[in-house]
Amino acid sequence: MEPLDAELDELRDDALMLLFAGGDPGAARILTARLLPRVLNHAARVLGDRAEAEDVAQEAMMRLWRAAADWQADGAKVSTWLFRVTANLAIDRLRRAGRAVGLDETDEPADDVPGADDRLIRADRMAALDSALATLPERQRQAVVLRHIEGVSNPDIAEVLDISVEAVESLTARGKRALARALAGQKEALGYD
Amino acid sequence: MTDDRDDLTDLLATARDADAPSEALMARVLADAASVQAGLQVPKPVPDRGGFGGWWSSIGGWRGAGGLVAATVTGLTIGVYAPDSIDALLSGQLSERGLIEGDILASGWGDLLELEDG
Repeated sequence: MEPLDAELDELRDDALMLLFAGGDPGAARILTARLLPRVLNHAARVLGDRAEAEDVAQEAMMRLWRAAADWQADGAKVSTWLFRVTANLAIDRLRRAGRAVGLDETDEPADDVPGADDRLIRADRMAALDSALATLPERQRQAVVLRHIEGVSNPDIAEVLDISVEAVESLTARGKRALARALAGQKEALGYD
Repeated sequence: MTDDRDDLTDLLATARDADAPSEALMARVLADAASVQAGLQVPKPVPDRGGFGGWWSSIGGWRGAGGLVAATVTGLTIGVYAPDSIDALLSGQLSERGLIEGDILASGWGDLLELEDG
């Protein structure tokens, strides 16, 4: 009997990977619901382009499915592995497009924030954030997004980016300071009073 | 500056769920999952290797061929030196146990030479 999604939702990601490899369609639904939003968000913040982010997220998930058959339950965390794949795919895209540092993507956010529409305010804030993130070096950007947006732990980020925990701490601290500088003076434009 | 940091924290928190996947993207990802999963369930076909490749595989490749050669050389050796030489090598255990007759304990080579001499 096929287990209910609610029961599957209580399982860890690595257990769901084994179920997926065994043919359980519910495992794919739960893993997608759990991981796709985080992967897409990460790609969107790093790339600053929704369509490209969707492509990267889909490709990263495809690699996850393909890895299921050989998945080692006691190996890397599924989310860490997937962030690593996503980070590499995003960096490849940035480099192919010549946007690794992103200095050519510093579009200023709109000056006139439509105060009545929360969605537009939010969209403007995200555009400003993406523009500020795009000014950061790629590793710093990845580290900031993983730490401060996705809430990934420093040891996991170290694994994703293949660097030391100390290097992660340094990257995230410098990145956050740089972001604050890039966004300084835009409080009013972003709707922060 | 503290206010800027607080605003930044707020902004980063807002970004955490800023890009919810569209239904179309979810559908594409699940379709990918289904296609990969279907492939995982189909047993991989055994490649049909005919001719020399098939024969080579059927005897077990290099390992099998090595075993065949060893067995052939052993058999040939026993045929040439047997049975008296083998019995001698085994300190006469074959004849003691009655596994071979005494009158066939002439050298295989000797028999051949006698036949040729006629």
